Amino acid sequence: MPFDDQVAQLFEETRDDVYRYLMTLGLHPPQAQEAVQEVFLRLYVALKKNEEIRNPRAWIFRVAHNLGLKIRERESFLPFPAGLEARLAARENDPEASLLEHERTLRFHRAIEGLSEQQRRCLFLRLEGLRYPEIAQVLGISASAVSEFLRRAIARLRKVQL
Amino acid sequence: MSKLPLPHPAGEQLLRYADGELSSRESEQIRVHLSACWQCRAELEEVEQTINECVRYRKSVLANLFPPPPAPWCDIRGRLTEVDATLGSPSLLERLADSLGVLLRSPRRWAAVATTIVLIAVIVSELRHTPSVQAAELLRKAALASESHPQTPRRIQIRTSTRRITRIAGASTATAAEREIETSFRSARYDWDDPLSAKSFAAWRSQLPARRDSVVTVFDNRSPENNRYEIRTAAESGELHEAMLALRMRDLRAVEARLEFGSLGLVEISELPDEPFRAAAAPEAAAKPPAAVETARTPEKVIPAATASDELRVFAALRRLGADLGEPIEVKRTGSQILVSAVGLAPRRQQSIRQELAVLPQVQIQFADPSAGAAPPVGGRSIRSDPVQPGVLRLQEQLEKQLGGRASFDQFADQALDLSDSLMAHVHALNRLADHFTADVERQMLPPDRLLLQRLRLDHAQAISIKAQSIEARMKPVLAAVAEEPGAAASPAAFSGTWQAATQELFPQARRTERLLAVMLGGAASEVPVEALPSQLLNHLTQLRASAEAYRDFTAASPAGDDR
Ligand SMILES: [Zn+2]
Repeated sequence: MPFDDQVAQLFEETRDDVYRYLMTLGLHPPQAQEAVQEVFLRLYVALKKNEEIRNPRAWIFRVAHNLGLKIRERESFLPFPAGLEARLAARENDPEASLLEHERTLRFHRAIEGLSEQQRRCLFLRLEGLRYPEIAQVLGISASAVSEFLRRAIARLRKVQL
Repeated sequence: MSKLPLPHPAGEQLLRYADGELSSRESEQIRVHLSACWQCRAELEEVEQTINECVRYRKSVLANLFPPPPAPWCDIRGRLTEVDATLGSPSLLERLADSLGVLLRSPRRWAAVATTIVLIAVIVSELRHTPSVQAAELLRKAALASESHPQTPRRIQIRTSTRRITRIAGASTATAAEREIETSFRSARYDWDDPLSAKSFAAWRSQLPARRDSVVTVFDNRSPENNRYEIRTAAESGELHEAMLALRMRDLRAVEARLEFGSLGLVEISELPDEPFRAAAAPEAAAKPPAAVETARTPEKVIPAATASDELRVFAALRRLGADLGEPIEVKRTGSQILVSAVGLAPRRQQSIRQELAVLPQVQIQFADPSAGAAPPVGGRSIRSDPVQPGVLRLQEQLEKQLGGRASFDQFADQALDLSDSLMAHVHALNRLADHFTADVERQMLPPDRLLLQRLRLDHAQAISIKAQSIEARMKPVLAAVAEEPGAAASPAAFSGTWQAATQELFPQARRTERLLAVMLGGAASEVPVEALPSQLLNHLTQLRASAEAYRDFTAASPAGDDR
């Protein structure tokens, strides 16, 4: 497949996930959207340069993660979860979701908020389908550290459910 | 003697096992252990449950509650073609990819190559044509804004690598140092009299034979009033190589400029508070009330009109918060401003709305306490305000029996009426969009704006369709049991023409269904014969569901913004 088709297809499939991931890093929506577009242009340049990219999805998240941190450093950013709590609270009146369900989500959300930054990053990258070595590469840590962070994250989240 | 193969695996092993991160040998050992050990199997199941919960969280919270992208996604193929065109010279591609390669091979070295990366980001952004459109538009608005709100002459500070001078914009040049800087400005054709202004920046920018623009939005989370746009324009020739102008988001006032001259180097211009200046340097000016200065300087005022696009962004912001559903919030476009007003909102709600609107230009917010003025009647359903007609009462009793008692009926009725309320809120929101963005207004809007409008509409259309479906699904079995005749099939609803007209068709249908539901479940006065009520309601619900679906498909399919 020509490079531009590959990039266009990946863009369609992945942009929303990347956009959301960048917001979990604390970027504002316009910043996040801008960064997503940037990532795919970079992917294109890398492909044209015959860079070896085995797993494009992992590549995309790695570049997005780094770019996101860079933007965060340069400009001000929102602490996670960027107004999600207010939005969650506003959903209270949604008749589609029962009150119990709502409470459960809110509790889980707070637990996610309470995770350490590394735990949360590992968790979110895993949720986006990255394997341990890939997450390790994004975060610049070892794969065994990734499994340790994930284990602790799961253990903490498990307590909330009970 | 029975023995467990291997001790219980550590929690981490179990997670790695579940995640397929173990070698086949390790994973086989665990599998054997699990088949023998209930404890560990239960443990594994709990891990899986937590993983499920995380997946659910991603789907319901992250995917739903994060604001959608503020603009339509770019046309990626167009961008790639631009990259191709601009990177035609292999040297630039080489340079770009080399720096990227460094980054990709060793993410830890990010800090070391940070400057390169920023540079790349700028280069790549500049490949797009949109920034130049954005820059021109922002500058135009900012220039209009400053003309309509004239300031008393501003005191500005100008810093070069060797000097720091303070001057009054427009004052004649006094010192030799100033004259030297002035010469550079003049040869670059950059207005020296009022260097910190959108007008001067725009004048310089527009006379450039070739230029590259980029626009960056800078957010200051601690003090949102400092949020700003930074317009950077690089010239390909001339004395002034590159210039940056910062416009405060709230009023598009020029607050900072950075100019990179060939001979003079970097010149930074910023604004100084004007109090000390008036007292010290211009006693007559201080004596005059500022209003007099204002009228003396600008005989005629130009008010920059707030556009439909500005207004649309307010609606989009409210949509993101769900604040367009029945809350007493008014949006009005008046001349130069979008006025957002509300009475009696909770302080927390006020705050989140302010936050969401803070980044939008030309928005004026007016929140009032209900005590401060006449509060609008608080919405809410009044169940059984009228005496329930005997016929309806009998019907309700039949429903109660079916549902298993009064309490169940009440719960059922509440849920159905809640759904109907919420459906109506979306219908009203659509109606409001149709009022504010008439077909005429829409024709004047740019394609990306029309696309955004379509997305807002689609959002409501989807919600209406889901809710109509859900009400029908709940009511149908219950009504069918008491209806005299079986419900008719929905006559296929078709919408054509403008979406505004389609919305006007949908509205009465929704309104009528809501009314019948209120009669049936809430005991409102009925204007139809009671015997006919169940089957009529049944038909209306079915019809509304079909119409809502058709409306949704019509909204999704109708061309908006793609006629470029
Ligand atoms: Zn065991």
